[in-house]
Amino acid sequence: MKLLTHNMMKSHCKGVVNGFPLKLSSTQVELKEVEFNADFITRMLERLEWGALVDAAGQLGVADGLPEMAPSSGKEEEDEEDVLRKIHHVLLEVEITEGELECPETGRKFPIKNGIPDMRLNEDE
Amino acid sequence: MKEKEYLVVFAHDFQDFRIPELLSVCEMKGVKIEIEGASNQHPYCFITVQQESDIHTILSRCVMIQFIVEVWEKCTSRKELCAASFTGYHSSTSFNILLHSFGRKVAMADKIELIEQIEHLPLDGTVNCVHPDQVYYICERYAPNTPTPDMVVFGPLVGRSDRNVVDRFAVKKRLYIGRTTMDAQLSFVMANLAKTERGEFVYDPFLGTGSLIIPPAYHGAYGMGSDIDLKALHGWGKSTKATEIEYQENQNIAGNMESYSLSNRYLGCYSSDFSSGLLRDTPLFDVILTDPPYGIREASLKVNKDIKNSQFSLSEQFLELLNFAATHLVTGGRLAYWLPIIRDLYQGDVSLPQHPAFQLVYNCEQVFSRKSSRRLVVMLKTRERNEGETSFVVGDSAHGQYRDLYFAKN
Repeated sequence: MKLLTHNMMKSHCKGVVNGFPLKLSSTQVELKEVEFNADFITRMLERLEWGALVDAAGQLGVADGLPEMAPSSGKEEEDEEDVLRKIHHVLLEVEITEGELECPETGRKFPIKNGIPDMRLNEDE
Repeated sequence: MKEKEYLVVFAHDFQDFRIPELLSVCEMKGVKIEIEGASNQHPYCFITVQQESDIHTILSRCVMIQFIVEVWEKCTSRKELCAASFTGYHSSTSFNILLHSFGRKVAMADKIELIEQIEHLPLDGTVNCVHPDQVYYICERYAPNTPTPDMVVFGPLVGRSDRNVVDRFAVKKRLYIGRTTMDAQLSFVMANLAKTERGEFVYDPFLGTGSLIIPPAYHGAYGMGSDIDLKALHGWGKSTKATEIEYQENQNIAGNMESYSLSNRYLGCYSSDFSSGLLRDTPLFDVILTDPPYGIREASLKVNKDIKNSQFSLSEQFLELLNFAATHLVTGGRLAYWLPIIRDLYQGDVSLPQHPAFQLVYNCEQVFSRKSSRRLVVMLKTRERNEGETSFVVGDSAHGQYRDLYFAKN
């Protein structure tokens, strides 16, 4: 599971008011190369919750070099591509292969096995 | 100088998809095109474009096209071709002449005899069957039970399409497949109708074995998805291939992407009911491509709890899909999905699920039988949804009762 996926998910447990972000714990993390596309990263910036991304990255020890605020598009910065590549790395190349997601309100746990989170709920949840 | 005309030679299959695929690719690539003479009865049509590079652009994406020929002479009989003047055309490079026919097989000897009878053939280079500088085509169309052609076209081959991907990505050669795996050709056509492009984010909420995100990844998009079936995502369980019993360790979606060298555009998957509200309520994706269950083949289908009158209604699923797309697609994003149809009950576009924030773009039918078919529906999100707006369908009988009517005896 990539940090992009974690950033997209909120808790879907019944009755939860603010289920974002899910708590993340990882027992195995791998790095996996993903093709860089500056356009893609730039467009995704608007769709991300930046704070949660920085927090999750910090938790996994890969937040070095990540700006505190999301870079705003349109501003020509000298090392713009470097920043985008750093964001790309954190967002797409850090792979949680074994671990757990947890609903911040109910504590309900969702296992991550072989990189695939099992987010299925039972009928009553 | 006469405007150049080109003959498109399609594969003679999935007829309802051919012109829409061509138009979609032209629109996606900014190609202005005029089409003439297209028909579901034969695999030819004539087109004009603004420059020859447009032909190569078309060939780079359209998989229903086999090749395109520049028209030097367009005739309605062999006699006419043999007497044609070929004014303004000439070549001295080495060449080979091939014949493509529809509606009748033309023997090699017959083809050679025909070529020898072309009086003013403007080619004075040497014949080279192995590595010609230029291939020329004679294309002949025969009406049913007619010994003479009603269309005979001659001209140089401009190029062949990327149709070899259909073979390269063929399902029977794929590492990991299941009962729901989409035919390779159709999955490429689907990506073209949805206009998936390099750098876009594509999502499939009924991912299954991941067949639909392969063509977008091939074209440079990033793909991911989800499915209620965790086993399908992991590649656990019994194989559906005749030669295998259990799936091996690398037989899963990730394994497929790796075998095609597309891992670097695969963003992963997770198991979930897509309508449970797991994703943040905000635009996330550029394209949603999917093939939801029809209620026929899937053993693990979750039955809708709100069954009315003990009839299984598929409507809920497609209305939920449209609402999901309304929330999670960016404005300008596309939803492409397959909708099963009972043909007797289908009344045109009005039978399809609708949403105020969406515009219907394509609606192409793949016929299964006299009774049933499925339609590839492509919708464009034209604006953000307003408070209270939701999907609706005007009567749902064409697809809502698909499962019951499919199994009904008559």
